[in-house]
Amino acid sequence: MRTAWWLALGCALAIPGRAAAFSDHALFGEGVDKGGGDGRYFTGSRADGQPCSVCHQGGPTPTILVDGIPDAPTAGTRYSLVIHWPDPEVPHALQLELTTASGGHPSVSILPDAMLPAESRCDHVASGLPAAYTVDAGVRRVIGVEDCHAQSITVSFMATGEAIDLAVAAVSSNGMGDTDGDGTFELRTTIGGPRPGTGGVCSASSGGASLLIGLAALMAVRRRRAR
Amino acid sequence: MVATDRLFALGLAVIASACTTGPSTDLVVPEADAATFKTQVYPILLRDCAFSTCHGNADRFFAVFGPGRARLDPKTAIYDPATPTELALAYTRARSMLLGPDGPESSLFLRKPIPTDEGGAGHKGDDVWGRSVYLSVQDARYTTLYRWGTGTR
Repeated sequence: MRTAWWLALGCALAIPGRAAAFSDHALFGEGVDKGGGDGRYFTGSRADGQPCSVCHQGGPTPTILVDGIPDAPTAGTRYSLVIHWPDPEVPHALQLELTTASGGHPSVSILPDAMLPAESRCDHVASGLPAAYTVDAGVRRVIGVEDCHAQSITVSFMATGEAIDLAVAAVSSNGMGDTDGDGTFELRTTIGGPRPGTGGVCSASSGGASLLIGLAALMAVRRRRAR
Repeated sequence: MVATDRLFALGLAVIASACTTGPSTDLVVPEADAATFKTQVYPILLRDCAFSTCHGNADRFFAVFGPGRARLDPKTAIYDPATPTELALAYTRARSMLLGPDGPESSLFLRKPIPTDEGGAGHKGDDVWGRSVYLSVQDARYTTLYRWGTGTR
């Protein structure tokens, strides 16, 4: 199993803060006349093209851990990914997507309410509402996380024998209600072998600092593997 | 004509008059239908271009503001409908972008969002997979932009 720490830097462009879009996740599917995404969920998947950072920017990079990515998945086997972040008090909203070459999803699911641990619930208490939600949009299935002080979610999928793209995008809000000053995280990787034209494993914003952080993350992974 | 249409027309007139007070040139901005822009083109630009790190940004010439995105006037509520000034600005800038050496087909408005191997001009706004805004000139949204820009049906 792979364990990966991925850190991404939000762009540091100086643009005045104006908009605070999509605090309600239902808006991703709404038309633009209502201020919605018109089918864009900003996961950074091939279906969306862009992650959260196309609007949110300028804040400190959130730290997000993706656990359980299989190196060589066996077709027909179900795998679980655990996505977690160390500080539940820092506002986090997250969207992720697993897609096959056809654009569909590999039987993606989240834990049922009865099986949810406290850390996967709002306010990370046993009585909290589920933090994760599922949105089906055509053949796509998008998993989202409410910004409600949860700490982790578990997402499972069925290996299909073909390459599966995982795209994760998250925002750590500064609570000001606009897109400025928010930190962003993004991860894009292929599970089960490279697919032609994927353009790389992970995309962070450009710049030497992000490269250094990426190298540090890789070294951390190596150290964890060596233990 | 409803009130918003009147305001939209007034906004267009104000912006047009401002644009014509500068030095004259031989360039003629292509005609482009304002009503079609409002109902068909503007929603596409809002969906695919108006992100705040892209064209939802006052620093860009081709700027698009509107509901759920950056607002031209920060006092406008985020989900309020597009204001006449936002519509007029988007229309005027988009129409200006239709200027091309060989007509609208060669304009940046129609060449920026498509792949270079299909006549695209290259675009910093490729998506995170390195793809153009529209993967092909056959894309339905691009076809709408093309028909508006070239005045074809």
